[in-house]
Amino acid sequence: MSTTGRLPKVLQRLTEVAIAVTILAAVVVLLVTALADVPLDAPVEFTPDEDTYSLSSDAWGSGTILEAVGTARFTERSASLVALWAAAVLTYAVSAITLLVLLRRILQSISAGTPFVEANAKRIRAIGILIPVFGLLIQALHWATALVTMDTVAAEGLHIRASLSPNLTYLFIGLVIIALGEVFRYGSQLQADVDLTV
Amino acid sequence: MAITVHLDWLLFDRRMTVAELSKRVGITPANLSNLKNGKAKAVRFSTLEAICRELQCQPGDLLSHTNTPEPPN
Repeated sequence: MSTTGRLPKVLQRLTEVAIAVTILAAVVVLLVTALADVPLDAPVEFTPDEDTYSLSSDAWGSGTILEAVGTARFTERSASLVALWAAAVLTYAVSAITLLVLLRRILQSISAGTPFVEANAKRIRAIGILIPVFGLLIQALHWATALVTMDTVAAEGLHIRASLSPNLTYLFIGLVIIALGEVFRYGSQLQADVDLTV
Repeated sequence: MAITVHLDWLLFDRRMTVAELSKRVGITPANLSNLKNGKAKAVRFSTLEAICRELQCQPGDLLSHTNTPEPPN
Protein backbone atom coordinates (compact mmCIF):
# COMPACT_ATOMS: atom_id res chain seq x y z
CA MET A 1 0.00 0.00 0.00
CA SER A 2 1.53 3.30 -1.04
CA THR A 3 -0.56 6.42 -0.57
CA THR A 4 2.34 8.86 -0.31
CA GLY A 5 3.28 11.40 -2.98
CA ARG A 6 6.57 11.84 -4.77
CA LEU A 7 8.10 14.11 -2.12
CA PRO A 8 9.47 11.34 0.18
CA LYS A 9 11.14 9.64 -2.82
CA VAL A 10 12.68 12.94 -3.96
CA LEU A 11 13.90 13.65 -0.41
CA GLN A 12 15.27 10.09 -0.19
CA ARG A 13 17.31 10.65 -3.36
CA LEU A 14 18.51 14.00 -1.99
CA THR A 15 19.70 12.37 1.26
CA GLU A 16 21.54 9.70 -0.79
CA VAL A 17 23.27 12.45 -2.80
CA ALA A 18 24.07 14.32 0.43
CA ILE A 19 25.60 11.15 1.98
CA ALA A 20 27.79 10.61 -1.11
CA VAL A 21 28.86 14.28 -1.22
CA THR A 22 29.67 14.29 2.53
CA ILE A 23 31.83 11.14 2.25
CA LEU A 24 33.61 12.52 -0.83
CA ALA A 25 34.17 15.95 0.76
CA ALA A 26 35.48 14.42 4.01
CA VAL A 27 37.92 12.16 2.12
CA VAL A 28 39.15 15.03 -0.08
CA VAL A 29 39.57 17.41 2.89
CA LEU A 30 41.41 14.76 4.95
CA LEU A 31 43.70 13.86 2.04
CA VAL A 32 44.47 17.50 1.26
CA THR A 33 45.11 18.19 4.96
CA ALA A 34 47.44 15.21 5.28
CA LEU A 35 49.31 15.48 1.99
CA ALA A 36 49.39 19.17 1.07
CA ASP A 37 50.86 21.97 3.14
CA VAL A 38 47.65 24.03 3.11
CA PRO A 39 46.87 26.67 5.76
CA LEU A 40 44.42 25.55 8.45
CA ASP A 41 41.60 27.62 9.93
CA ALA A 42 40.73 27.21 13.61
CA PRO A 43 37.77 28.72 15.46
CA VAL A 44 38.97 30.92 18.35
CA GLU A 45 37.60 33.38 20.87
CA PHE A 46 39.55 36.52 21.64
CA THR A 47 39.54 38.92 24.56
CA PRO A 48 41.32 42.12 23.52
CA ASP A 49 43.36 44.16 26.00
CA GLU A 50 41.24 46.85 27.57
CA ASP A 51 40.95 49.93 25.34
CA THR A 52 42.87 48.17 22.53
CA TYR A 53 39.96 48.19 20.11
CA SER A 54 37.63 51.11 20.42
CA LEU A 55 34.32 51.74 18.75
CA SER A 56 32.77 55.05 17.90
CA SER A 57 29.43 55.92 16.42
CA ASP A 58 27.74 59.25 15.93
CA ALA A 59 24.43 57.68 16.77
CA TRP A 60 25.36 55.40 19.69
CA GLY A 61 28.43 56.90 21.30
CA SER A 62 31.76 55.12 21.82
CA GLY A 63 33.14 52.05 23.61
CA THR A 64 35.56 49.11 23.45
CA ILE A 65 35.38 45.56 22.13
CA LEU A 66 35.27 43.22 25.12
CA GLU A 67 35.37 39.87 23.33
CA ALA A 68 35.28 38.53 19.80
CA VAL A 69 34.67 35.16 18.15
CA GLY A 70 36.50 34.48 14.94
CA THR A 71 38.83 32.32 12.89
CA ALA A 72 42.60 32.07 13.09
CA ARG A 73 44.43 30.97 9.93
CA PHE A 74 47.63 29.01 10.54
CA THR A 75 49.90 29.05 7.52
CA GLU A 76 52.55 27.00 9.36
CA ARG A 77 50.84 24.00 10.91
CA SER A 78 51.71 22.06 14.04
CA ALA A 79 51.05 18.32 14.35
CA SER A 80 48.52 18.84 17.15
CA LEU A 81 46.56 21.35 15.06
CA VAL A 82 46.50 18.94 12.09
CA ALA A 83 45.23 16.17 14.42
CA LEU A 84 42.51 18.45 15.83
CA TRP A 85 41.55 19.55 12.33
CA ALA A 86 41.26 15.93 11.18
CA ALA A 87 39.18 15.08 14.29
CA ALA A 88 36.86 18.02 13.54
CA VAL A 89 36.41 16.95 9.91
CA LEU A 90 35.71 13.35 10.99
CA THR A 91 33.22 14.48 13.66
CA TYR A 92 31.35 16.68 11.18
CA ALA A 93 31.32 13.91 8.58
CA VAL A 94 30.28 11.11 10.97
CA SER A 95 27.55 13.33 12.49
CA ALA A 96 26.14 14.31 9.11
CA ILE A 97 26.30 10.78 7.65
CA THR A 98 24.70 9.16 10.74
CA LEU A 99 21.81 11.64 10.74
CA LEU A 100 21.37 11.38 6.96
CA VAL A 101 21.32 7.55 7.06
CA LEU A 102 18.63 7.61 9.78
CA LEU A 103 16.64 10.20 7.80
CA ARG A 104 16.98 8.12 4.62
CA ARG A 105 15.57 5.03 6.36
CA ILE A 106 12.61 7.05 7.68
CA LEU A 107 11.94 8.43 4.19
CA GLN A 108 12.26 4.90 2.74
CA SER A 109 9.52 3.62 5.05
CA ILE A 110 7.31 6.64 4.22
CA SER A 111 7.77 5.88 0.51
CA ALA A 112 6.83 2.25 1.19
CA GLY A 113 3.61 3.44 2.86
CA THR A 114 4.53 2.23 6.36
CA PRO A 115 5.68 5.31 8.31
CA PHE A 116 4.10 4.37 11.66
CA VAL A 117 6.35 1.52 12.76
CA GLU A 118 8.32 1.05 15.98
CA ALA A 119 11.62 1.24 14.03
CA ASN A 120 10.83 4.81 12.89
CA ALA A 121 10.00 5.87 16.46
CA LYS A 122 13.44 4.54 17.50
CA ARG A 123 15.15 6.30 14.56
CA ILE A 124 13.51 9.65 15.37
CA ARG A 125 14.45 9.28 19.05
CA ALA A 126 18.05 8.46 18.00
CA ILE A 127 18.16 11.64 15.85
CA GLY A 128 16.84 13.63 18.82
CA ILE A 129 19.60 12.24 21.07
CA LEU A 130 22.40 12.49 18.49
CA ILE A 131 21.85 16.16 17.52
CA PRO A 132 22.77 17.56 20.99
CA VAL A 133 25.50 14.90 21.41
CA PHE A 134 27.15 15.79 18.08
CA GLY A 135 26.64 19.50 18.82
CA LEU A 136 28.45 19.07 22.13
CA LEU A 137 31.26 17.04 20.48
CA ILE A 138 31.84 19.75 17.87
CA GLN A 139 31.89 22.40 20.60
CA ALA A 140 34.34 20.30 22.61
CA LEU A 141 36.62 20.21 19.57
CA HIS A 142 36.41 24.00 19.23
CA TRP A 143 37.30 24.22 22.91
CA ALA A 144 40.24 21.83 22.48
CA THR A 145 41.48 23.87 19.51
CA ALA A 146 41.30 27.07 21.55
CA LEU A 147 43.10 25.31 24.45
CA VAL A 148 45.94 24.20 22.16
CA THR A 149 46.26 27.59 20.50
CA MET A 150 45.92 29.55 23.76
CA ASP A 151 49.31 28.40 25.05
CA THR A 152 51.19 28.75 21.81
CA VAL A 153 49.78 31.73 19.95
CA ALA A 154 51.01 35.22 20.57
CA ALA A 155 48.82 37.97 19.18
CA GLU A 156 49.48 41.56 20.00
CA GLY A 157 46.79 43.06 22.20
CA LEU A 158 44.66 39.88 22.11
CA HIS A 159 44.15 37.02 24.56
CA ILE A 160 42.87 33.78 23.06
CA ARG A 161 40.27 32.27 25.32
CA ALA A 162 39.02 28.69 25.60
CA SER A 163 35.40 28.51 26.64
CA LEU A 164 32.98 25.62 26.59
CA SER A 165 29.54 27.14 26.71
CA PRO A 166 26.91 24.52 25.90
CA ASN A 167 24.70 25.48 22.97
CA LEU A 168 21.14 25.13 24.25
CA THR A 169 19.72 25.36 20.72
CA TYR A 170 20.93 21.83 19.92
CA LEU A 171 19.42 20.57 23.18
CA PHE A 172 16.08 22.26 22.44
CA ILE A 173 15.97 20.87 18.87
CA GLY A 174 16.85 17.42 20.26
CA LEU A 175 14.03 17.57 22.83
CA VAL A 176 11.48 18.58 20.16
CA ILE A 177 12.60 15.65 17.95
CA ILE A 178 12.47 13.20 20.89
CA ALA A 179 8.89 14.37 21.57
CA LEU A 180 8.09 13.77 17.89
CA GLY A 181 9.56 10.26 18.29
CA GLU A 182 7.11 9.59 21.13
CA VAL A 183 4.25 10.73 18.84
CA PHE A 184 5.51 8.21 16.26
CA ARG A 185 5.69 5.50 18.95
CA TYR A 186 2.02 6.13 19.80
CA GLY A 187 1.22 6.22 16.07
CA SER A 188 2.92 2.85 15.57
CA GLN A 189 0.80 1.35 18.39
CA LEU A 190 -2.38 2.71 16.74
CA GLN A 191 -1.19 1.36 13.38
CA ALA A 192 -0.62 -2.11 14.92
CA ASP A 193 -4.18 -2.00 16.34
CA VAL A 194 -5.61 -1.02 12.95
CA ASP A 195 -3.56 -3.71 11.19
CA LEU A 196 -5.00 -6.38 13.52
CA THR A 197 -8.59 -5.17 13.20
CA VAL A 198 -10.61 -7.37 10.84
CA MET B 1 -7.00 -13.66 25.41
CA ALA B 2 -10.19 -14.50 27.29
CA ILE B 3 -12.22 -14.20 24.07
CA THR B 4 -12.17 -17.37 21.97
CA VAL B 5 -13.11 -17.36 18.27
CA HIS B 6 -14.86 -20.49 17.01
CA LEU B 7 -14.46 -19.73 13.31
CA ASP B 8 -12.60 -22.97 12.56
CA TRP B 9 -15.42 -25.05 14.09
CA LEU B 10 -18.11 -23.04 12.23
CA LEU B 11 -16.21 -23.36 8.93
CA PHE B 12 -15.87 -27.12 9.44
CA ASP B 13 -19.56 -27.40 10.29
CA ARG B 14 -20.58 -25.38 7.17
CA ARG B 15 -18.05 -27.28 4.97
CA MET B 16 -16.52 -23.95 3.93
CA THR B 17 -12.90 -22.88 3.45
CA VAL B 18 -11.22 -19.72 4.72
CA ALA B 19 -10.67 -18.62 1.11
CA GLU B 20 -14.35 -19.04 0.23
CA LEU B 21 -15.57 -17.20 3.33
CA SER B 22 -13.09 -14.38 2.84
CA LYS B 23 -14.36 -13.93 -0.73
CA ARG B 24 -17.99 -13.87 0.44
CA VAL B 25 -17.31 -11.52 3.36
CA GLY B 26 -15.00 -9.25 1.41
CA ILE B 27 -11.91 -9.34 3.64
CA THR B 28 -8.49 -10.80 2.90
CA PRO B 29 -7.74 -14.47 3.75
CA ALA B 30 -4.82 -13.20 5.87
CA ASN B 31 -7.15 -11.07 8.00
CA LEU B 32 -9.63 -13.95 8.31
CA SER B 33 -6.78 -16.24 9.40
CA ASN B 34 -5.81 -13.67 12.03
CA LEU B 35 -9.38 -13.82 13.34
CA LYS B 36 -9.45 -17.63 13.20
CA ASN B 37 -6.13 -17.99 15.02
CA GLY B 38 -6.97 -15.48 17.75
CA LYS B 39 -4.36 -12.94 16.60
CA ALA B 40 -6.90 -10.19 15.79
CA LYS B 41 -7.18 -7.34 18.28
CA ALA B 42 -10.62 -6.09 17.19
CA VAL B 43 -13.54 -7.03 14.95
CA ARG B 44 -15.60 -4.46 13.07
CA PHE B 45 -19.39 -4.79 13.40
CA SER B 46 -19.58 -4.83 9.59
CA THR B 47 -17.22 -7.86 9.48
CA LEU B 48 -19.11 -9.62 12.27
CA GLU B 49 -22.39 -8.99 10.49
CA ALA B 50 -21.05 -10.33 7.18
CA ILE B 51 -19.59 -13.49 8.82
CA CYS B 52 -22.85 -14.17 10.71
CA ARG B 53 -24.81 -13.65 7.46
CA GLU B 54 -22.63 -16.03 5.44
CA LEU B 55 -22.33 -18.70 8.15
CA GLN B 56 -25.97 -18.23 9.25
CA CYS B 57 -25.06 -17.95 12.91
CA GLN B 58 -25.23 -15.52 15.84
CA PRO B 59 -22.27 -13.52 17.19
CA GLY B 60 -22.43 -15.74 20.28
CA ASP B 61 -21.81 -18.82 18.10
CA LEU B 62 -18.62 -17.18 16.78
CA LEU B 63 -17.24 -15.71 20.03
CA SER B 64 -17.18 -16.91 23.62
CA HIS B 65 -15.64 -15.60 26.82
CA THR B 66 -13.67 -17.73 29.26
CA ASN B 67 -12.72 -16.57 32.74
CA THR B 68 -9.01 -17.23 32.53
CA PRO B 69 -6.85 -14.55 34.20
CA GLU B 70 -4.85 -12.29 31.85
CA PRO B 71 -1.08 -12.96 32.00
CA PRO B 72 0.81 -10.05 33.59
CA ASN B 73 2.52 -7.73 31.08
